[in-house]
Order: sequence, then structure tokens, then C-alpha cells
Amino acid sequence: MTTVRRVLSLVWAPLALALFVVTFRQASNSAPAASAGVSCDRPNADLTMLERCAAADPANIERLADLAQAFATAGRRELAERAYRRALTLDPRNGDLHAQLGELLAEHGDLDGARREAELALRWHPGSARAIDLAARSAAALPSIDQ
Amino acid sequence: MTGARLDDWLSRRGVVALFRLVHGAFFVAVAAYCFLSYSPFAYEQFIKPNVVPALTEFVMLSQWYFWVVLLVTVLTLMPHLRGGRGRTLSWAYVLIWIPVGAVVLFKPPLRTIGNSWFGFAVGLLALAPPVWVAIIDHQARPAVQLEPARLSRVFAACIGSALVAWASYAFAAPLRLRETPGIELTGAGVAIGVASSLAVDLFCFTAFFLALATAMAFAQRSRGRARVEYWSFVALLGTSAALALYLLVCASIAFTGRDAAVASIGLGLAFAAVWADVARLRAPDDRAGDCLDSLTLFATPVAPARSRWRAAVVLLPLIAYGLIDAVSHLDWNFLLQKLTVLLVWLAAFSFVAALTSSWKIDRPVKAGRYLSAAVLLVFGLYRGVVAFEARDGDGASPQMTLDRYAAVDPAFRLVRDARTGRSAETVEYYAFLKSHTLAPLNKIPRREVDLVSPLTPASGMRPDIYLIIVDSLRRDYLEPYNARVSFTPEIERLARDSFVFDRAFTHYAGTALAVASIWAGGLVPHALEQPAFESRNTLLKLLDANNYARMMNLDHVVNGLVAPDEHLVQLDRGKGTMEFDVCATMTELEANVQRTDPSRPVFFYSLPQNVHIAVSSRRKVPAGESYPGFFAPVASSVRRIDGCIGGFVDFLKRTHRFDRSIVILTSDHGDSLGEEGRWGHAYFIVPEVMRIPLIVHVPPSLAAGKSVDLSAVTFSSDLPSSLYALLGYTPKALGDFMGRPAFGPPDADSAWRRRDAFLVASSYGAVYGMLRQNGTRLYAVDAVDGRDNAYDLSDDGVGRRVDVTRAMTADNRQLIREALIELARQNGYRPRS
Repeated sequence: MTTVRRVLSLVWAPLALALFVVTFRQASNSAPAASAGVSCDRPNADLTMLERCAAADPANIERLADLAQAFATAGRRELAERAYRRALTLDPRNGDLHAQLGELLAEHGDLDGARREAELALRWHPGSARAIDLAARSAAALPSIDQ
Repeated sequence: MTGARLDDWLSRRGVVALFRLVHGAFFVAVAAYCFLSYSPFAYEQFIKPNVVPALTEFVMLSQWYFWVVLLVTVLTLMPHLRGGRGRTLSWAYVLIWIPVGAVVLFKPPLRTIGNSWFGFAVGLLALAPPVWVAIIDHQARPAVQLEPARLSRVFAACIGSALVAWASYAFAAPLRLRETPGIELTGAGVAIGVASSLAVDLFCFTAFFLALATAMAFAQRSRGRARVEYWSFVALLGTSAALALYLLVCASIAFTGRDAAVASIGLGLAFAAVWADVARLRAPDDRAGDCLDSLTLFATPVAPARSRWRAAVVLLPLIAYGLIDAVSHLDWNFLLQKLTVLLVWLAAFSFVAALTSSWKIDRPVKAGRYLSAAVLLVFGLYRGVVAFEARDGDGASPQMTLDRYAAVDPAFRLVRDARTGRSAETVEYYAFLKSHTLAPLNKIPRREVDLVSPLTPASGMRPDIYLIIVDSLRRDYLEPYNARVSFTPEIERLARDSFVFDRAFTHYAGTALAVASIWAGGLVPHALEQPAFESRNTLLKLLDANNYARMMNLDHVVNGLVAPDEHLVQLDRGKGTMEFDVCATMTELEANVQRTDPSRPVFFYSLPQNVHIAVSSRRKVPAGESYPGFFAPVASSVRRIDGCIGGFVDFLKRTHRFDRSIVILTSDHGDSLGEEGRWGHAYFIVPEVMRIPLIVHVPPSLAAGKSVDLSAVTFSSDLPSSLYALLGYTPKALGDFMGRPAFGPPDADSAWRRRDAFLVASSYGAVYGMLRQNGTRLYAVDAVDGRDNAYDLSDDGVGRRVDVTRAMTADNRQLIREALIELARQNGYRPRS
């Protein structure tokens, strides 16, 4: 019994120290997960997939822009405009988005709105041919409508 | 009579102990300086540019300090020189170190060591005197009577130290939270942090107790048990110091391998020797019948048993707070803060050990049982914190809460950084990152990079180009980027005539590679020195092809990138990098511009240091100026540069040069000014360091017909290709790692800037990141601190930290890996094995 106690008194501290040292480090949570099955980085034009991707990362402006463009191509103007406006709420200085929204508005006859968007597009993307063209088209069309 | 009095005074133990401390501190400081010089990284980044002037002053005066220390030490050795024990070693000390002192006086080695092996050898040699005098004192002074320490007292001392150490930092956490910007931490979050900090501190000090108990257990079986115990404690201290130096200090300055290990062991040994020496000298010499135990003797250098000094323990929280406050602004990757934590912990342990020196516990068996239970309890508490941390939370996860708390509790940060776990995959990944970092000079082959080939003089207008890269200037300290700023009216005025890039970034945190990437016009091999850089220097090729007169001050980085030639007009001659002041430079520039042949276009480059934290924090904010919401020394320095830049723009207008000049105001990188407790830039890949201001004034005739997407991601490395484009060239697209013109034809497609992922890196260590989604998402892998961090930069401010998900980690690490492999392939170098 005395021998056991003596051995214990000798080894308990190093054993406990080893336990402390071994368990000191956090369990690693830095192991990366396997890549997701479907990538949203370059989604195809499939509307369902685009909607899923935009919903998965609602702050991703480019995904919203892709979705808006797909809605526009599919002729769903209101949804396209809503998606553009949501993207512009997140990034109001995105000249390209302003130009795209302006083109959508112009296509559907909202030339005043198109001109406003063209002005904003030029403010953030000065010299952009697309924005200049949109501004010119909407400005040219507006007086005739007024008349 | 006077001689006898002096003799008496010099033989007092307290006086000798004080002189030994000074002696030890001096030689350890010399060794530390030599090792810093020997590390290429520290030499290039801190010593060469004279970032810490106090270091240079120390070097200049070191030979005189040497003599003062030597003479005082010889005086304290006088009794031993006359006879008795220690005589031989004392004479040997005098006969060796006085001639060394003579050599040092005429040829001070610290001034000439540079970055060489000689410095390393001098560093090791400097560690000999403290060990030497410690041996003399141990030989010559009578040893105190020692008895073994009781295990229960050692445990009580450790637990008491844990409580003192915890209180020293945790009590100040709410105060620091108020002072630290960028931390979203609720009252409950602080409470969770404080409680976790207590559990973690108890765990660390209990582990220390177990190390001491292990030493005591093995000493039990030896002859002279108490003495073996005491020396085991000293050895443990030396080993801990060496490990802290190697794992903390050397790792932070990219000093690794065998040399770093040797230097750390040497410094640890010297530290332990000085400690033991002071303990020997401060221990009471006449304590018949009332001997000290080994723990009390060990604690003696800070708090001798029964001395009034022990009461100073109540001042530790104040001392801890003051130390952090003193070093945080000039810190490097939290290194100095962590070192002060270790010192405070050591002091706490010494004080509490001295306070408990009179405790008597008569029933060791029962105490032993309580002790085992207490150790288990501490272990259980710690595991509880670990389990809590691993939980998913609604909103901020527990881990995120503790990460935020770490920003206001430096002791908790120290432990948190030390305990970061790594999977095997992560270990492999970090090794991969390190293999691509700080490549040796001879591994990088020459590579010709030409944006235009053949490059002939521009056919149209050759504007003057003024490139002002204000070191560490943050975008949110300028009016064009932040409506709350009211101290940069001149820059605001310039911005109204300029293009203000909203999402400008640097590829590199840290001046060395940030400046290189601006001249190269793209990413560069990760190396502190860029060999054969002239072949990749696209900006210089443009300037030479168009016969620009280059007016520049040569900072320590650009000096290695742009060779002086007949085109160079050097400004700020005779000044060191840290002395470059934008106002003085601009005055000199104006005089030179007026003297220049009007047919030759002017190119100006400068890297003014006014805003650099090492310079601005030493500058006194003038009376009457106040900057609520900003760090006043930096804001005041920005106000100063604003006035001088405004004055220079006025000069350009006055001399009718403004409309034929391109004026670029940017920075090499931003800076942390207290965000989440960070200061400076070190290895930080964080929003406030990576985002930069970029304001470009272009003559109207050159801007006509060009489109500029101001809200798309733009890098400072896009500047050379942009200048090519503005001068009428069509620069080639040379792949993902080369910059592209920010000024393009009207139908240029800039959508790629918004959609692509861009590699960013620290200039100085294995820290890499990916910038995505038009610069609104930043992910960084920090192989120095062993953490992955993610930020959302959607807002105009300095962004916010977001939770790192495993999918995010997988995705970004893969992108970084692919980018680094491709970068190495394009530059033709192999990563280190």
C-alpha cells in the first residue's frame, strides 16, 4: 500500500500535467467542409437555381443582378425591377446596375425613371457607353412624350 | 573613510542586486538587438527604416552604457577580487571584459553588425556576462538554508495567482470595451467573457502548478531535496522564457529554425541566471532556525518573504492596464501586449507566493485529497468553457462572443491564440502557405514583364505625374470617403476635380510588397527583396520610355526597386524613411519642378510617413484641436498633410500645371487604430488595413473618351496599367495577377471586377486572403496566429467580423491555394520545401 501511494505521489502530477497539456488546445473546427454539390458562383440561367442562390446569400449583389437579368429575359418585369432595386439598396453606387435598371425601365416606357437611372449610372461610372446611350435615348424620347 | 563607506554601500545585498539587474538587462538588451538584426525580416522592417528611434539611440550610446555597467559591476566585485570564494572567476571577469570594453569603445559592434552572422555571434557572446556574474555570486555568497515547499502551499499560490492575474485584466475589460471601436459585445457577452477568462486562467495556473509539482515529485528522491526543488523551479522559468521567446517573439518576426531556437535558449538561460542571481542576493542571509522554503526563495526577486513589497500586489491591475496602454499603439501583432501579460503573470505568482509564505498546513494527507479534487474541478470548469464555445448560437456564436471579448482582455487573447486547435488538414495547409511566403532571394528568376511591347514614347500628351502614397493613410480619415470628417478640406477640394475610387484596395498589408506591387503593376513574388525587379518594373519602363524626370525620395523599400540613374532627382537627401514629411518634401518638390526643363515631363513619387503610427503617435496634438470619433494623433497628422497637399495643388494651379498633371493620392495600406484591440498593420488582413483611399486627378483632355467604374473593385496595382492607358497605350492583359487599367474605352466591361475573387496577402508572413463580391467579402487565413477570419465590408465604415463557416473555409482556402500555385508558376519560382 505504501509503495502504491509512493508511486502515485510520484506520477500523479506528471500524468495530470500531460492531461492538461493534451486537452489544452481547442478541438479544431477549422477543417474545411467538402464543397457544396451545387456551386452558386457561376450559376446557369435557370431561374429556379438563380432564385435559390439569391435566397442562400441575399446580400450578394451579383446574384441579385443575375436574377434580375433572368427575370427581365423571361419577361417578368416587376420581379426584375424588384430584384434590381433590392440590389441597388445594397449597393447604391453600382453604376452598371443603375444602367441595367434604366434599360429595363426604358423598355417598358418609364423614360423619366430611365433618365434618372442613367444620371446615377454616369455619376458612378463616368464615360460608360451604356449609360451615355441610355441617357441620350431617354432624353431624346422624353420631349416627344411630353408633346 | 569615504572609501570604507562606499565599500559598505556597494556590498549591501539590495544594492548589488539592483546593479546585477541593470547588468543583466543591458546585456540581454544587447543580445536581443543583435538577434533582431540577424533576422532579415526584423532588420529590413524595423531597424533599417528606423521605426523605433529609441533603438538607434541605444545603439549609438551602447559602448558608453557598456562601460558604466562594467565599472559598476567591477566595483561590486571588489570584495571578491580581494580574496575569498569567487576570486578566480571575478578576476577572470575583469581581465576578459575590460579589454572587450576597450575594443567596444573604439569599434562599437552594434553599429556595424548589420544583418550578418557576426551579429548573431555578438548576441550569443552578450549573454555570457549575466551568467558569469550569477555564478560568481553563487560561489561567493553563502547559500540560504532551504526546506522543501509544501505542495498545498504551492497550489494555493498558483490558484491565488490565477485570481490576481484574472482580476488584473478582467476588471478593466468593460473600460477597454468603451475605448475600443468595432466590437459588438453586449453586457451578457462581457459577463460570458469574464467568466471564461477566469476558467482559462485557473486552468493555466493549475497546469503551472502541475509542472511545479512534477519537479517537486522528482526532487523528493534526491539528496538536498529543497535545493533540487528550487533549481527545478528556476529551470522551469528558463524553459518557459525560452519557449515564449521562440513561439511568440521569434514566430512574430518570421525568425524561425535552428538559429531562432539557439537565440531563444540563450536568452532563456540568461533570464533564469539573472533571476537566480537576484534571488540569491535578495534572500535574507541570517535566518537561523527559520529557513525559507524553495518557493519563497524562487519568488524573492519580485517579492522577498515578509517584505512590505508584497502589498504591491494590489497595484497589479493598474500596472497591467498601464503597460498595455503604453505598448499597444506601437505593438506588432499583439506581441508586446502578450509579453506584458506574461510579465504580469510572473509578478502575480511571485507576490502571491510571498504572501502565502507563512501559511502552515499540518495535515498533508487530507490536503492532498482536497488538492486532487480542486485540480479536477478546475479541469471540469475548463472543459465546460470548451463545450460552451463549441455550441452554435442564435446571432453571435459563443466562439464569436469570446473572440470579441479577447479584444478587450489581452490575457484572454494570449491564451486563446495559444490554444487554437488545428486539424491535420489545416496543419498541412499552413505548411503550404508558409512554403509560399518570404521566398529566398536566389529562388526567384528574372522575368521580363512588358505591358506594351515594343514600348516607344507616347504619341500624345505626356502629363506630369505626381504619385503621393501616404504610408498607412486610411480612407475613412478623408472627407471624400467619410462625411464625418471635417479636417481634410483641401483633399475634398482635390477630390471634386478628380476620380474618387470607392472600392480601392491594396493587395498587400504592409509597405514592402504594397509598394513593390504598385511599381510592378501587379502581384509580386512573396519576398522581402525583389531580385532583378527592373525587368518587372512596368511603371519605371513607362517613365523611362517617355523620358520622365523622376523626383523621388528614396524610402527603404523603393531604394531596392528603383535604381538611381541620371533621370533621378533625389528629394529629402540625408533623411531616413521615417523622417519623410509631406510638407518638407512638397516644398523641395516645388523648387525642383520650377527648375526642370519644361519640355520634360515630371514624375514625382513619395511615401510620406506623417500618418504612420510610429510617427503620428509621438506627435503632440496641437492645443485647440479635437477629433471626436477619430484617433487624434493620426487625425491631426492627416490635417497637416491635407494643408500641404492643398498648398501643392495650389502651386500646380498657380503655375498652370494642374490641367496637364495626373495627381494620385493613395496609400500603401490602411492601418488599425484600435479596432477590436488592433493597432498598426503587422500581419493583419482586415478591412481597415486592406481598404485604401484612391483619388486620381486626370487632365480633362486625357479623361475625355474614357470610362471609369468608380464603384468597382480597384487595386493600387492597377495604377501602372491605368497610366499606360491614360498616355494612349493599350496595355496587354497579362493574366489575373497583373493590374488592369481603371480607365478604359467607353464600352469597357468592368463586370469582372465585381465578380472575380482577388488574392490579398500580408507582406511579412503567411497570412493570405480572398477578396470577393466586389470587395464586400474578405476572408483571411492567418497561418501566423492560426485562425481564419471573415469580414463583411458592405458598409462604408471599417466592415464587421462575421462567423466563419466550414463551407466558406473550404471555398476560400481552395481559391488561395490555386492562386498561390499559379503565382509561383507565372513567376517561375518553386515554393520552399
